[in-house]
Amino acid sequence: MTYVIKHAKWFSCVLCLCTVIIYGCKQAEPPRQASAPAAEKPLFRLSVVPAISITATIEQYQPIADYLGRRLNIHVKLMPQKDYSSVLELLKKSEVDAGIMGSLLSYRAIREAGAVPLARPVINGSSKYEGLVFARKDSGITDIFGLKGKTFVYVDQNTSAGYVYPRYLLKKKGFQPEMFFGKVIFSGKHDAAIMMVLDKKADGGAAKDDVYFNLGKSNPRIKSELRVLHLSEARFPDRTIVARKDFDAGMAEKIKAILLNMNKDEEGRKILNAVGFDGFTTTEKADYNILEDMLR
Amino acid sequence: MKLRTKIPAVFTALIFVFAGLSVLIAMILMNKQLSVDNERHYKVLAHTLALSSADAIVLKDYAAMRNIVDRVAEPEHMAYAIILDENGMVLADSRHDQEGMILKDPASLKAASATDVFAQETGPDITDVAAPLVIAGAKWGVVRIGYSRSTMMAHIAITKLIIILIGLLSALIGGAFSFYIAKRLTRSLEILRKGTEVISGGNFDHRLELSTGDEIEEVAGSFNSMSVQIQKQFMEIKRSSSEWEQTLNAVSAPIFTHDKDFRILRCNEAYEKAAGCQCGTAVGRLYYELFPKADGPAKGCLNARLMHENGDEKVFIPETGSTYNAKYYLINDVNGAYLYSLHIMDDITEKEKAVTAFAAQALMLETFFENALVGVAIMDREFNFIRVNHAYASFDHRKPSDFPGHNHFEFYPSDAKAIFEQVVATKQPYETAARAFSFADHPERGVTFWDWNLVPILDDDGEVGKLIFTLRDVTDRVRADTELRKISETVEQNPASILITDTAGRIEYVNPRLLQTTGYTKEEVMGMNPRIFNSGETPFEKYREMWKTIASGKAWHGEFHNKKKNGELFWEAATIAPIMGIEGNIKHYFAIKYDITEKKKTEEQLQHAQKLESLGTLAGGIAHDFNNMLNIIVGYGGIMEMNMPRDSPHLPHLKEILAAADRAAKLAQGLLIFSRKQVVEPRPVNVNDIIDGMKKMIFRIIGEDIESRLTLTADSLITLGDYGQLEQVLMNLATNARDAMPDGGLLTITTEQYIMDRDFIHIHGFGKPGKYALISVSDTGAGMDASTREKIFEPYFTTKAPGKGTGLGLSIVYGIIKQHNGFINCYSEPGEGTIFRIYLPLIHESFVVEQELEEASPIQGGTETILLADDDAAIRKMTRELLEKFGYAVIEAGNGEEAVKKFEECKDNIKLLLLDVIMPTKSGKAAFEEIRKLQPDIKVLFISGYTDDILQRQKIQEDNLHLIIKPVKPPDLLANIRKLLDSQGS
Repeated sequence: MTYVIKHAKWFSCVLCLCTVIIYGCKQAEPPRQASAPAAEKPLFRLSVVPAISITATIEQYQPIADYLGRRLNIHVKLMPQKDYSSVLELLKKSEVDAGIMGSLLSYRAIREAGAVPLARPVINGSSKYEGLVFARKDSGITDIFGLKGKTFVYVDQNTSAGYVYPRYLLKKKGFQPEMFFGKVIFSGKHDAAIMMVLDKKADGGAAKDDVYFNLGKSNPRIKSELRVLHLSEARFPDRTIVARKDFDAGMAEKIKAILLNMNKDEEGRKILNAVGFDGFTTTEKADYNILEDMLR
Repeated sequence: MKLRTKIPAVFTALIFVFAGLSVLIAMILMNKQLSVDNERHYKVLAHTLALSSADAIVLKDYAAMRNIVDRVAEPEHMAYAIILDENGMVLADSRHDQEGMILKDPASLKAASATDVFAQETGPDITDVAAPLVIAGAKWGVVRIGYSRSTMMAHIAITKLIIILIGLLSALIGGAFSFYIAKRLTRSLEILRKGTEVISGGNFDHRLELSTGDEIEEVAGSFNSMSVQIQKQFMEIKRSSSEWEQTLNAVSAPIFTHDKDFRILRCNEAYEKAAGCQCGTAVGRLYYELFPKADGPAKGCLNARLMHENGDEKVFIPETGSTYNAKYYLINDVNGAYLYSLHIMDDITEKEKAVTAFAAQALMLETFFENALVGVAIMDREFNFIRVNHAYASFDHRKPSDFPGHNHFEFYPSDAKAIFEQVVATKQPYETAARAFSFADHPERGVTFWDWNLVPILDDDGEVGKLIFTLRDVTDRVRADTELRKISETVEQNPASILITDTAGRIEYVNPRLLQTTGYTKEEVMGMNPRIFNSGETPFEKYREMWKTIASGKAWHGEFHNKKKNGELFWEAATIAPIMGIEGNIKHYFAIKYDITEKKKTEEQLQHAQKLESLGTLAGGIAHDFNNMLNIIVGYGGIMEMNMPRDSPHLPHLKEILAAADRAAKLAQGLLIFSRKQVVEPRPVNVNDIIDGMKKMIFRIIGEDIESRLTLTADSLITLGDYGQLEQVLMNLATNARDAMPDGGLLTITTEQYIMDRDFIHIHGFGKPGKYALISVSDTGAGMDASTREKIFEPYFTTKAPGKGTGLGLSIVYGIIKQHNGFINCYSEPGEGTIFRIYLPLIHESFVVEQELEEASPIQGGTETILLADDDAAIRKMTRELLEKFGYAVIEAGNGEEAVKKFEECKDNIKLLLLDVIMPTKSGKAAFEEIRKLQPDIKVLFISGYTDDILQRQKIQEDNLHLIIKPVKPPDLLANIRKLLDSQGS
């Protein structure tokens, strides 16, 4: 021991050296430019709603974007947006070619911008999700009626599970959503809404079921401290890739075909496996009619 | 130069040099480490900045990015902060003059293309750190920060100065201190030097006075201790020398030293005493002249000198008879050169004697061990054999040398191992007797038995070191014991009575059976003579013969009629024999006896029955001849009576003759009944009905003085019997009862159903299991004694006055009952009355007893021809005359064969055959069978007179043929013939 202390300086040097070597090895593969020169390859601009953090969004969709680019020999530019409405706005203005968006935004894009749904991912055997309403267990709230007059956190006005569904539910139960809660706040993201309730910044909240349960895996507090008050049976189509109205139909079909067959080749499977998708499935405009009732 | 000057100078110089060098090295290392640390710090800062501004970069939030760079570049040492997009265009710049531009200087290009965090010096004082923002393998931009190295270093300039000053100060203080210490140290050394000089001069009382509290003081202390020690040891040597002298003198063994010329240098008092010289005069003299007195040095002593080594030798002094063990030690100087010899003379006289005695004892023990009859094995505590004796080895047909090295349980596996282990554990010996053991490798030896013990031998530590295992084969003894026990049990539990006496006839042993039979207790018979069982019934000669036989050494067999303790007599069959000793003389007598009272009883009854049987045969024979003769008397008498005129004066005489003949015929009939040769016609009859029907008759017989009482069971008692004969039985018994009660009394007749079982048969000595009708006829008369009772069924035995009885009454009863397959028994005691019990076998069917009443018819003759066959010529003549008188034609034949022949001759005329049943050459029945072949419808009447033809008669009756019995009254014969001739068919 004395020996080690006497030579601590030398040890720390060796440790530093080792760290540098390991770090160097890891960086053997250089990163690509997020946007390559447009002159060389056709550009496909793909915006994404910030359902989760920007970094997490990029980590999830960048490998798929890269895969698409390789397969079609195009440059796929991933464009995460700071809010849901920005994606719709960009699509309307044709500043992006396609957007990855939730069921409500997809519905609006189809209705308002004549957008075309291409495909949507299958996650854990399902390509749809549910909305759920939750509260802290220690609040003593056991059903949605218990939330009356309390602080409630929505995700975004453009989310089905995080806004439209809980309001629809209240209407169905005979309440006026605007009058029901004491105070309403918006978290912007599903995971943020869950964390706000967990950290007692709101009494209850609404979010997508998959986000809730995935977060629960990494954060045991969710299971032990939160109570799900209601789970919808709406089956919202999730994370649809929607192309702008005037997007090249040929290219759209190619993109669609590659996404639908992605789980049939080794590379595609590896990527899907890494981002947690089973594959992609077809989707039709009619799939989004479910929102029609809820928005009425 | 003196030590006091040298040490401070050297110390001070060294301190200065070391302090200077340390400060210098510290400065260099500090500078280096600081620049490395700074670079690392700023790399981390740039990387963190890239990550924290990821959202702003991706979303192109310029305001947010500008805010970030402004805040990062705020500190004095920061030169700038820039955010570039993925193409190297400046998105935000803390200096605000390059936004929207793409920087083309080499450092900027290098930074823009960074794929990892890196630092580069972009000016004399500036270091630029670039960190790319990479998400999911895609680069979104680069963050650059620049910092001033000199500003960073300026922060530590004062620190450096402080370090240099501390180094200088340390050197100065160290130098001064070392000078002071050196001075102090050397002062003590001076005192030390002087002191040691005094001590080494021999003054051990001198002490070094130092109180420096350091090692020098410790050294001084050590010097002081050393001089004290030396002084002590000097005194010790003096004292030791004196003590050694005393010690040597205290030793009883003579000890001395001598020089190379064998002259004594020193010796102890014991030596001087042994040598017999004055105290202190031995030194300088030749030792062998003094002790032991010899012509020269001892051989061992010389040898030791010669071989240059120590030695010893036994020395015997004849004058005193003592033995010494002389030990010779050579004492050399440090170089190995011889100085002197030391002799120690140890008196071992007593020890020698003890050794001799011990050897003798060991030899004795060895002899005992090897020749002992018991097996002895010595084992270690793991039960491995160390040694066994011959007896032990021989138990298993081995040699003693086969055992050592083997484990006991390897040779003899058994469950005794637990006991052995217990002995080792408890250290207590264990002993067992007759323990069973089977040799696994010699199954043919079977189970053997051993007495053994196991004794632990404790070693010096008190632990079990060895075990002595002693054993003795007691298999033969155990087997003999078992045999003896078996014999003893056989005698004790024997169903025969067993008795043993001494030669004088005093009882020494009796078995329980004997006590049970005689009713005595063991205490009552022990020591007594067997004559206590004598009843006086056994003739004295029998005893004499018995004693004579057994005294001659032979066995005697015979029967005694002995007496029990309660006086009851009983029969015993005994075998008595002497028990011979090894020398051939008689030691005891023994008797084996069986109670044969029951057997005797049965035998007596059998004898009685046999006697009655032979009497019956005799009577039957007499009756037969008698009947033949009466047949003639009655026949001719009848003819005469028929021919005699009614007024003839001879007629009354003839009638008397015929009346006597009739009585004689009845007498003969009675004899025939007794002898059971009388033909009975058994039919199912109800015993109760017979008795009921006899009521009046019995009343009439017994008269008015005797009361009669009938108790009949409600059960129907159907037996197969002859109504008339059974009536006869009752009548005879009633008559007998009447005669027994001349002064009046009570006659009781009872009936009941009785089931005869084996117990009954065993007790009474007669009978056959089954259901019986029991008729008891009892009177309250005079009764009779045993001897009378035994004879009452014998014919012509009577207790009545002459002329009062025929002597056949009970014989007839006996015969009838026997013929009915029944039993009769009589119980009587003098003065107690008599009971007759009659047992008649019951049949299960219920029959209506028919009674045929024959009507008397007038005598009729005929003219038909009759073939008459009888071997008795007188009867034949009488019968012929009778038949011819009544008009029949008669053809005579003397035997069966002749009858057949005569029939063949005149078969057309003959209408009836009159055949005697028994005839020579051919019986009546056989003749009839032949004649029937010639003429199947021929009529026949058989006449029987003799009892032995009973079988023939039965056949005749079975064939439904007609039979009449001799003596036949003429009217009966004529009536039967007429009836037959007039009947249809045969």
